[in-house]
Amino acid sequence: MHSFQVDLRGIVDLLSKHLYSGPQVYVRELLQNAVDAIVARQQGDPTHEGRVEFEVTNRESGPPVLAVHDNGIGLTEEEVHQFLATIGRSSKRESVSREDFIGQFGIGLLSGFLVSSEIVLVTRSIREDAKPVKWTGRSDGTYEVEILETDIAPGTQVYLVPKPGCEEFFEPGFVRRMTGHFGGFLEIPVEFRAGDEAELVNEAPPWRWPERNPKDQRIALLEYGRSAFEIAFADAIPIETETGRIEGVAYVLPFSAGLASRQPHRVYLKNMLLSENAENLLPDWAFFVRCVLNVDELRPTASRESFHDDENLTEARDALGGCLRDYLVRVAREDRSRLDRLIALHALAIKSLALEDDEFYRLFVDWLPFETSLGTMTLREVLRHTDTIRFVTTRDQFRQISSVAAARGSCIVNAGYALDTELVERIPDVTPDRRIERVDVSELSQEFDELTMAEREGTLEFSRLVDVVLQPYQCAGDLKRFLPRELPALYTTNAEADFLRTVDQSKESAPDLFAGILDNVASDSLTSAYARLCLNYDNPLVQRLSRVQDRELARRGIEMLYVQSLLLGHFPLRAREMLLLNEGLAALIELALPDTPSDDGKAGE
Amino acid sequence: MSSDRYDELLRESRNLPENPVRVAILEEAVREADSLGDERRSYEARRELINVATFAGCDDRAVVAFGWCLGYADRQGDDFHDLHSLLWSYKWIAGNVVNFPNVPRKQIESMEEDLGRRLEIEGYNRRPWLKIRWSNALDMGDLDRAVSLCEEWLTTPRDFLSDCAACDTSAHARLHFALGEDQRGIDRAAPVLEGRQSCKSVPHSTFGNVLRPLVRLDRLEEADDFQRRGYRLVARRQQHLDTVGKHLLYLVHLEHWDRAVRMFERHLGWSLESNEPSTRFDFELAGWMLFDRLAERGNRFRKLKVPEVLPLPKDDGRYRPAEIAGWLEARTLDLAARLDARNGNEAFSREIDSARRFASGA
Repeated sequence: MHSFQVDLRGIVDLLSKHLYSGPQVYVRELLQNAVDAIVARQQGDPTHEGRVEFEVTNRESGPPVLAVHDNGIGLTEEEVHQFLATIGRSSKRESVSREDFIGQFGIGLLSGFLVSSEIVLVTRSIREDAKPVKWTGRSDGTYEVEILETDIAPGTQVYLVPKPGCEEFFEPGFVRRMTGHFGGFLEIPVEFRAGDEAELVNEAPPWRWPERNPKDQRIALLEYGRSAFEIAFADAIPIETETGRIEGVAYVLPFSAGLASRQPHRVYLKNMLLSENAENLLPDWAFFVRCVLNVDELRPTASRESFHDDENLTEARDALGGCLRDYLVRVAREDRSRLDRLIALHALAIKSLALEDDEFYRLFVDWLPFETSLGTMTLREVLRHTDTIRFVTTRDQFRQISSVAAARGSCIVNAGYALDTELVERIPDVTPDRRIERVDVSELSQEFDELTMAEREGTLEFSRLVDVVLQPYQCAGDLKRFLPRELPALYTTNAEADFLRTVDQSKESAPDLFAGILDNVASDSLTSAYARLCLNYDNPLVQRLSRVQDRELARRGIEMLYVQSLLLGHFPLRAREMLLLNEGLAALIELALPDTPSDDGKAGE
Repeated sequence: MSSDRYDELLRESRNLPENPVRVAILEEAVREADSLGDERRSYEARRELINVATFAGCDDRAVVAFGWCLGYADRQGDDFHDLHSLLWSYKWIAGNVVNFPNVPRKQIESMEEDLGRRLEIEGYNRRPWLKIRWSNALDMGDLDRAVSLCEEWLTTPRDFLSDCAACDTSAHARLHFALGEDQRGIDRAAPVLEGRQSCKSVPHSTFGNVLRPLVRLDRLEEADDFQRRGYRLVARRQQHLDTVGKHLLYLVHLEHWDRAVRMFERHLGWSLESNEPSTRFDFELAGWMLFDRLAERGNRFRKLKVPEVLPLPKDDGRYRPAEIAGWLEARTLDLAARLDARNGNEAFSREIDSARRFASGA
């Protein structure tokens, strides 16, 4: 009896913790070994018909036995010792790599110890003088190698018996399901046997279906997608690339997926299932599709559950992106209603791609929807309203001015959504004959109508008072005419003024230590940050206020209009603005009350 | 104003990657919460804002939101339920204020002390506090101090408030590189470079940090590999603008002009909107070196896709490299001067010289 240098349990532990996603992969590993052996034999003998068999035998006395048989190349006694050495070598490294056929075989076989404490291997090489070899290995590291005298056909048989607690992994139903799950698309026949029943687990994957006309093909693919993912997809895009030799289907999701979402793609490597959750194979913007793909020429990682991040993968990813992009371009050219539906569902993905690909951008930018002060419309429609595309960069700013803009029939684009700002800012780069203009909301009042010379002279005192009243709140005042008339005042800020406001608020709440720090952090980024309150001379209340003789009353009125504008604009009040509101309201109520006394006999103080 | 709108804003923000747009949406949510007068939501929204802003390259927003949260926590006293999480983000804040040259040393130190005090009260050990003092010293160019603080940090055991192994490994390697100990730095970073340690931010910055050292060690193929893989990790993450700067400088060193110019174009917008001065520094320094060298090679007009706000005369989208170099030079020198003045040394000025030597192919 021989022994490895090391306890196999340690390696198996390493594999199960760092390499494999779960014990069920043992089925895949054994299947992969069988397939590799057959492929190796076919290299010397192209006419050889390979076959793999998985058989579960339930025994009266004792646990079930799983036998995996292949008629592949088999191993000689020397090769058996080689793979044992590989196992010994693997224990000394922290990472596992599969250098060659024998090495891969050994690592694959090790996975059997995830579910079994003893593995028996009976193998006979195709070499003429080879004798059958029987290897029995145990997870405690002991093993035996025996040369058998009886002759058997070339190939390999592996026998496993579940260790306590792992019986479920040997249930016939489980093994049948797993062989189909991992190996269902293999071209080599894989037969599953239990008791009297025997069946082939193979089925034809979409990329090996017989040729059909595109319409029927699409229907068949969608039906397959429904059964594979339980989703009624919006479309099925056949995929084929040179790099990596990839083929398969990309299914368009029937619902919108978020910009940060990752779709679980089902990926096969040389027709064996590699992963149901492959990452890094598709570009970031391709989150609107879910794929079933077979890859022939990319390197898997050691766990064989994703792809090695190298030049080939990058190229393959680009090629896949190209397929999806070509599909979108085709739809844009041939089927406008499908394009509209696609854009409605997947605007974010399409915008994302547009930002990475100038040509695609040029093609699609006109059809992309944007929110504007005159309603949601495409860029093409926006250009019907205006020559220059005017936009704001935050939704907050949009809210401040959209009603005023709408009342004037002015079209302003709300670019305050993910990707929209970037998209709008690139318009002149990609279509140089178009102009864009970023609207500084705090400057908006410059567009309003000026008062006449006479009106300005008449309201000079009032304007000065407005400035004095607003100055402590870092706000400048304006007197203009604008629509809608019902709006007495409009408070607008820019990003810097907004930030200053949050700094003030934070200082009001923060521990003393932070007061100085916050000012210093803010001062690094701010230059001047004045907000604007634009009073509307078209509004009757403002007109009357401007003529009031009582300076105190006028001041109160201005203060209240200021606070009202803050509230209407959803700006949270700073402590002194809160105070202003309280005192101002109280004062106005006082003024409105007739001379009714309070408890202490005073009236109208 | 309604709590529906608040919920809607939070939901929408979670659909986005961590970038300034998401920060802006969360700031809206903060305003909604404040308008509702609901302190619990005001806290919740700011808490999320701190997280997102920190990873979106908006440290200034994070600090401001954090100040409010800390005050809220103090006011709540024993009723406060989120202390571990808040202290965790305090680590980021206390390590990021050093980013702002207008914040004097004294204030940085008092924040460190405050953090230390709170850790002690809550029963956490000193490791996070030791690390922050170490990393602030490193960031301010106090290399001797950093070296002396290093051992105590690393030998204090980890508890639930300590950074993970990947962060510590990557950080420690930076000290070696700053000291010019390239081989030791690479060795130290090995677990990260070999993929055995990783976390949310590692190896994103690590791969960028090893580029210059690997070139100095003449391990050029490895440098290329890390540049290719590392850039992919940071290309869409604004908090890593400084690492992008390291990639850019590497491309300048290799004289890959087209790739370098494209990288500059892609990220200049980040730099212009960034309010994190020392994060901008590496990027704008690299940009300056790039356009300086392009100017040396014949100051031809180049067509550049840069944001409208760039305050340079443009001729139909074409710029002269010397002008861009000049603009970046002014900004970088100003920043270096302010950072050095606050730090009381010449670390940033020396970095400019070092970058220039590297950019010229040394």
